[in-house]
Amino acid sequence: MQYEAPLRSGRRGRTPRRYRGCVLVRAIIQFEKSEPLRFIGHLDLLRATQRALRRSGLPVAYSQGFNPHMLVSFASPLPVGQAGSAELADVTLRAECSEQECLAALKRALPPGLPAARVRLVDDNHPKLMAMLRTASYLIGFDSELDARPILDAAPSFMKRESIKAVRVTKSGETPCDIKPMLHELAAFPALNALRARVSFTQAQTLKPDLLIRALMEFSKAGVGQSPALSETPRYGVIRTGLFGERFGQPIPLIDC
Amino acid sequence: MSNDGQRANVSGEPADKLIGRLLESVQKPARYIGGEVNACAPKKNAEVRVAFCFPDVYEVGMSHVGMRILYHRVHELSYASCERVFTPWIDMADAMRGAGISLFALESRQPVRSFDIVAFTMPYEMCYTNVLEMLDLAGIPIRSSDRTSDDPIVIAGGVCAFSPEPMHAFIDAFFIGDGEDGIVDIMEAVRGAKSAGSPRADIIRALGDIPGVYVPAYVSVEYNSDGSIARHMSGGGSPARIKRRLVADLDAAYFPDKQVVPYLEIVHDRVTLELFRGCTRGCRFCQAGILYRPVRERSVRTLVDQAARLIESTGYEELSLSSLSTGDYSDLEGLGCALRETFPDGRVSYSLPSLRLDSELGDSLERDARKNSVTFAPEAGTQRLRDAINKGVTHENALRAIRDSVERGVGSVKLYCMIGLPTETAEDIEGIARLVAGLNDEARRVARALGAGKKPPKLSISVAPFVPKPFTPFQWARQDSIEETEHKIATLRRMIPPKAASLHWHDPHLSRLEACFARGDRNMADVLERAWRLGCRFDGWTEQFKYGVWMKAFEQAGIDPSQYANRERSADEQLPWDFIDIGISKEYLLNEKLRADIGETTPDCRGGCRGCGLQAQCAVRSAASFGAAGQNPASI
Ligand code: SF4
Repeated sequence: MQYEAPLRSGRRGRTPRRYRGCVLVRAIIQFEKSEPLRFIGHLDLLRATQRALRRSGLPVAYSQGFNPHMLVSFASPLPVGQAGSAELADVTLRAECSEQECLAALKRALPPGLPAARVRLVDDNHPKLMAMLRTASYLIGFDSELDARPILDAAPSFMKRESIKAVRVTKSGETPCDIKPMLHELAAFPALNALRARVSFTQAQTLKPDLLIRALMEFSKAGVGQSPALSETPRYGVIRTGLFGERFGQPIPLIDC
Repeated sequence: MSNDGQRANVSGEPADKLIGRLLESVQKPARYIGGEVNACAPKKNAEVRVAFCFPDVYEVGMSHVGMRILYHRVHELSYASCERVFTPWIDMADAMRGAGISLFALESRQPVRSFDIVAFTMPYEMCYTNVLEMLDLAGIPIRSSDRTSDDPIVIAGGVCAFSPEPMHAFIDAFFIGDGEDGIVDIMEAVRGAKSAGSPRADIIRALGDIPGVYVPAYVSVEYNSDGSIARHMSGGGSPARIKRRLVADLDAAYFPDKQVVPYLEIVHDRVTLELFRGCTRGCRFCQAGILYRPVRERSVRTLVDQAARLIESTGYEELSLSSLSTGDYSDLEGLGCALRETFPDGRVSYSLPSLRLDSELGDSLERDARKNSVTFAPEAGTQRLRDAINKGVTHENALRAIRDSVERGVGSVKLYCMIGLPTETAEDIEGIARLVAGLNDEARRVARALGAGKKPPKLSISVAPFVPKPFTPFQWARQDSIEETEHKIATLRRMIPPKAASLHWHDPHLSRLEACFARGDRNMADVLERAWRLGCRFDGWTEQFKYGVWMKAFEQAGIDPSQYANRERSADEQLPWDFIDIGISKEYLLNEKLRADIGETTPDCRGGCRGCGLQAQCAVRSAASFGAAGQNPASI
């Protein structure tokens, strides 16, 4: 394999780390965690990825120390049961292959439920994905049109409000909060009985899809005055469709940051 | 053998979607999703479709090497498709019943009831209720006699099939012995009969003609006037005799070059190689050591080849070299070298699960294993009792092992002992405590002598009540009553201070049931069904085991468990498994029992054949260059 590492986004002035005499490079891998693998936990995903990397024959770098392990991390773990269509893994390689070769090897080695879509190679000094993550987008699909209709109808006026009060339920209790600043985009797709939302996803501020749906339901009920058609617990599935960073206030897919 | 889909369920939703919804609410949903690397793609139009069932959860079943082998073996037949099924954990089983979802196979999510063959492997007695649970969840009548032409053929193999009578009412055909070739014979027979349009009953009858197959419906039991067994009779009116199957050459035997890579962390989450089958040691309590005789080894070449292919196809980093007594492999040294050559970068680590106390560690791979805990099984506390059970381990072996552990800086040492062994006295129980004390002293002495920050390892000791097993020299023995066992455990608790070693013990109630089922006859089927109907399942899981309910089942069935567990059998009694011919003569077993009674050991048969009955098939015997071979030096 030929060395052709496009060190596009390295910060200047630092010497890259080396491993056994090789320059290290990081591969950012975009993959899908689709049905039925949405049911595997984060540690399971990590193990499956490490095993796939071993089968792939890619020149993965290992940590130093007594118990060396592969240098693999993820932009953000998905909760068990949630699917993701553009998830990101971050693997450190001894720079020896091109993006195309890397993608081809991964496509061969990853399990069928975790297909790789894209690989971008970056300098080893490239900031951690987690540190650049600002927002995440979701597709929320409702099982029945009956459940979806009032919620989708309420979306435009919901989005126009200055502030939206909601109650966040955590282990330590209930905290009231304003979710509006965390809601960046909201669009309804009536043909699909689905909503698309882009919401804050940082350590300090995260809006979970469940909380958003609950707030939307409250809002739509208040609007129509207790529609009898609206069931108490609409059934829906959530797919995380993207992870974004930010440049000049604009969302940029994290893989391109 | 109908091919209908899932039963119409309560909400009328498609089964796939409904299963997805159930998975959102259960623990460890990954148990039920399949889709792993190296899993077989179901062949929709296969002539014979097999649902391979393991009567325990996914993590346990996926660790079972026999199932790994047979799953690929069947699926690689051009006309067959094989899928896996495990027992849904209680939450999932209840949710499935609630939603009207019948048991489905992992690969295709097709109902188990739609398969041609439902094959169980039964590795331990306490999984029996789970077999019934799976049949019921699948919508298959649990009793063979209630099944109709629409139902799959239910077969079962594994260790428990060697003493099959407690399950005779539920299994259409048992397979006894090594499965690699036998399963293909069964597949061929079903394929042929199916294409000829034979009715289900005829197919099952025909399976009985395959060597190693036992069809209980065509074998009747005759009883003496006192209710004891007189004989097993075949349909033709001659005494029934089922010969177990034996794969003579493991190098030539089928072995898959891939292994399914689970997402969940399973019990044995690594590549497993089987170095050899059988054991020449002849420990008198050990069933596996007898059942898998004679010893058949795989060559270094075969093993290294299998290791390379499995590591490559799985991405695992750990390799387990398993067998009943790994240290006895004839060329451990050579195997170690060859493996190091094959995986030179040190990224593959090794585990040798059953190294004996007395085996030379030598230049073994264990040193690479970065092990922080070591397990030894002296089995008994005194030399006299170790001699009686023929566990050829001495006190000096144990001391050397502990010294070695200190030198290597091992953090903890686990000891395994049994209580209630035949011929045991109070002195032997005290001997366990004395053994622990002796090992502690030695460890402390060596640590002090070595200095340099060496610490004595933490000791822990597990005691298990003895369970007499069929086809062992102790198959006639009684088991201690629960009171006797509890008294012995209390003695040990008194004599072993917690700072000397942590003491653990197996639940004697569970051991009692194991004893009942291991040596059970046809009457036990009734108890089993009642217990399951009263809610028993996952009995092997301590927190699920309901002894009180089991006792109720015995009572309802009018059966006294002590007749099975605590009664010493006489040598002339016809035993419920006597009609199964494993090739080992009853005289040999009886002779070994008599030697146990007088405390006489029987040396390892690599030093000379003991005439166990397998002389015609035994490579160990022909390899041993002893003039005495063929005679019976073990006779007294
Ligand atoms: S035939 Fe002889 S050597 Fe072979 S297992 Fe039996 S006793 Fe041992």
